[in-house]
Amino acid sequence: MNFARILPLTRSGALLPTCLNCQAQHGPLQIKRFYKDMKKFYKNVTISKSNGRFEINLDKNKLKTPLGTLFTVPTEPLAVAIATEWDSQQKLIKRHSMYLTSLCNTAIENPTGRSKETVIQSVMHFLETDTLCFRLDEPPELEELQTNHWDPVVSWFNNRYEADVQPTTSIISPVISKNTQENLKKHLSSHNDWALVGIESAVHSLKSLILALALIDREVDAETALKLSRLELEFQVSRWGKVEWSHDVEYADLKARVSAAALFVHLVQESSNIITKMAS
Amino acid sequence: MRQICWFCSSQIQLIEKKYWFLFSDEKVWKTMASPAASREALMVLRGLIRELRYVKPEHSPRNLMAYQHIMEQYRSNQVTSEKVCRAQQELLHKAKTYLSLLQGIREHEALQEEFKGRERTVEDSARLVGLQLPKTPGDK
Repeated sequence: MNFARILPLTRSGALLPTCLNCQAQHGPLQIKRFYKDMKKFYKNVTISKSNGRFEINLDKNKLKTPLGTLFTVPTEPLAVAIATEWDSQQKLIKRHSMYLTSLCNTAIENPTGRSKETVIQSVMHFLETDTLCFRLDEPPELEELQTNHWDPVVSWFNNRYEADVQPTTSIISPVISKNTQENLKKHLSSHNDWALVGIESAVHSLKSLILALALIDREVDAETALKLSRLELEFQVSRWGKVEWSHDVEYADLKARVSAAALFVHLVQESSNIITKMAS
Repeated sequence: MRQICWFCSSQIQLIEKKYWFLFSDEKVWKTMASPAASREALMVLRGLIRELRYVKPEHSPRNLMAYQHIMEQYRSNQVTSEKVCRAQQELLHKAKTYLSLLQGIREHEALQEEFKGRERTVEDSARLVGLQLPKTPGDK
C-alpha cells in the first residue's frame, strides 16, 4: 500500500505535522532569514514585464520574496520605485530600509493568512480608539492645539464618509454607530487586497484611521498627517525637550513608513484607473 | 523678470538661477507658464532630484529609472493654464509622498548610524554638556 498517497510524508519518511495557520499539511516553511545584512551581489537593477505583471531583476537573478515566491507587482511605477530601493543599496543590502519592498512582500505572501474581511475589521477597530478622538483638556494650550488642528480633519472625515464620529475627553471609548460602520466597511472593501495592506500599514503607523484615510484621499500630505498624529508628543517635546536618539529616529522611521504606505496604495491603484479610462 | 520663451513663444517668468538645471530640458520649460501652481511642484521636483542623487552617488541621477519616470510624469501632466487639474494635483501629492519617503529613509539611516549602540567615553559625555575633563599630571 502506498502510504505516501494517504499521509503526506517528508523525504526522510516522517509524518508532516498539521499547519496551525491553514490546517493543511505542507512542509516546514522555508523562510530565508538573514541575521546579518547581506553583501550587495548585483550591479544593475532592471524591470521586466511578464503576464501583465512586473518583475525586478538583480543582474540576471529574479527577485524573490522571503518565502521564495516570485516577486511581482501589478504596476510599472511601483516596480520603478522598488527598483530604486534596490539600486540605492550601497555595500550591504539593508532590508529594513526597503519599506515598499516589505509592503509588497506582505501583500504577495499574506504571512498572517487573514482574509479581506478580517483585515477590514481590524482596521475599523482602530476607529474606536482613534488618536484624533481622544482629547486631553489638561494643559489649555494642548487643548487649543487639538481643537485647531484635529477638528477640521474630523469634520472632513464625517462629511466624506457620512460618519458621526465625535471626539471625547473621557477614558471610555465612544460608540461608533452602525451606520458609520457600514459606510466605512463599504468604502474599505472597494479597495483591492494590495491597497488594504498599505492602508493597514498607514493606520498602524499613524495610529488613526481618520488620518490614514485623509492621507489616502489626498486631503493631507504624508508629513502633515504624521505631524498631526504626533501632535501631543510634539507638544510635550516643545515643553520638556527632545531625546535625539529616540524622538528623531522614530520620527524619521515613521515618516518613511507613512509615506511608503500612502505611495503604495496610490501606485497599486494606478493601473485600475488607467484600465477604466481605456475601456470607456 | 519676464522673458519670451523661444519654445512656445509665451511669456514666462524666469525662475531663480539656482533652479537652472531643471530647465536644461526645454519641455519642462513650458511647465513654468503658471508660476504659482507650479512653483511648489518644482520645489518638490528639485527635492526629488536631490534625493535621487544619493541613490547612486557615483552616477548621474539622469540614468536612474525613477528619474526618467518622474520627468515623464511631470512632462505629461503639464497644463498651461492655472485651472485646477485633478491629475496634476494627484501627481503633486504623489511626488510629495515619494519625496518624504526618500527623505525619511535617508534620515533614518543617518540617525541610526550616528546613534549606533556604542557607549560614550567619559570625555565624550563631558563634551556633550559643554564640560571638559580636568587634566591630570599623569596625562601627556
